[in-house]
Amino acid sequence: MQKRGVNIEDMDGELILYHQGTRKSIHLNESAAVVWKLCDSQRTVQQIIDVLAEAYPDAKSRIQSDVWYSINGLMREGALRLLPPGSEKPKAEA
Amino acid sequence: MIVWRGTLAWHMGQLQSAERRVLSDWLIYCADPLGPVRERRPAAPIPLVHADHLIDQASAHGVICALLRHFPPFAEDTVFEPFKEKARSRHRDGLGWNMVLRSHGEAVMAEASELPVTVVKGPVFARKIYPEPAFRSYGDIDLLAAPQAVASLGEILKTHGFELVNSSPETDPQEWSWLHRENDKLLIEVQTDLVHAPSLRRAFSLTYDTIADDPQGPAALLLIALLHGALGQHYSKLQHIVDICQAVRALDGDSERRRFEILIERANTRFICVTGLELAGRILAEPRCLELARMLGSVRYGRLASLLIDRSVVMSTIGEGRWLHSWRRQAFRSLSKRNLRQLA
Repeated sequence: MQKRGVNIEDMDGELILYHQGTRKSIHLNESAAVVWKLCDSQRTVQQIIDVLAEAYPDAKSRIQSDVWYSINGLMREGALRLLPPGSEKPKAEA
Repeated sequence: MIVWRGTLAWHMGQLQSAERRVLSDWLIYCADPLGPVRERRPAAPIPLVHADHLIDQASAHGVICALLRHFPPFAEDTVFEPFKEKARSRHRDGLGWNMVLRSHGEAVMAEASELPVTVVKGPVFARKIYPEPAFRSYGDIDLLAAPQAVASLGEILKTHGFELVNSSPETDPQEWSWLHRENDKLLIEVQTDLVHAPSLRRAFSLTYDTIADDPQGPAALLLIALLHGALGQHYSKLQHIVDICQAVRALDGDSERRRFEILIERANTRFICVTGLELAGRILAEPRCLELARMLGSVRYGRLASLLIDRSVVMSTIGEGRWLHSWRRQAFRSLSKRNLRQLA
């Protein structure tokens, strides 16, 4: 789940995050930015991996490690936190 | 930043005047946040060997984002890829710094919400008059405060880690500079009048009271853009010209144009506004600027002002050209002072 207190600027597919608590700027390249955007409290990490593997079948073998690398990095910087299993919010009705 | 400026001067010293003109043509072509006008595309291409100069100039003029979006070789020519990446890196750094500033500014203003204080210039322009905030970079936070709010605002700034480093002028301060204790680049400037020079304040002023009824409305933003460009910086950046055009575009409808005229009279800034609108309209070919200038009417010394401050002065910010044109900026400043306040 994306933590509160993080400002976001979009830079043509890349993202710059600014964490107000730690006063750190974090630059996400395009693939890390996609992972960040998918961290919406509605998906598990495995679901994020599955979404990306389906979208980028040629990169399937690398996606799991890339996703975990991005998520671990963002957690370390305080921009993300993992919710306990089963905490995902249901998608809003259209 | 200091290393940056040294590099810029060295680069510009290597260009001939015709080459500088080509760079200026392309910067102006790319600068409009709404996108370039195809018919105005410069005929002469930018040689690869001058790409670094182009990026340095775009950074100095505050239009690096527009260059990234609108410079055709960045999209069409893979040979320019390393320079595109350099421009992206500059833009990324600027965006990151904007976010740092905005975060501190918002935290201070959240506590100062009941005081007669408003944020002016960079962050407000970025949010209110540009299609995306990323187009408008800024280096500090400017606050315009009523005099009675300055002491309370100072206490708030202290609790947020800022220290007062300078106030000017000494005898009757109108401007206070606050730097963050943990980052000496993080500057918040508090002002009670956006016209800083006491000698100019005999002619005009822009205080919080001038714009208090709608400090971030389109009319106020246009007035601030015009004053900032003319008096604060003497039109030293293409960004000032873009600010004016964007603020004019945001001025929608007769009531806003009437409000703008009211603010002009309050601040006694007709000369500054007419000459600034004409300048921006000519450089960026924005007819709305010229139309608004015509609506405001002619001003004394207007023709002379247009000869003193033109495209070459705006674009000469970097390199030896700046010193060649400094007399023109000083002459324009003298003309502005001649616009003395009419006695009631």
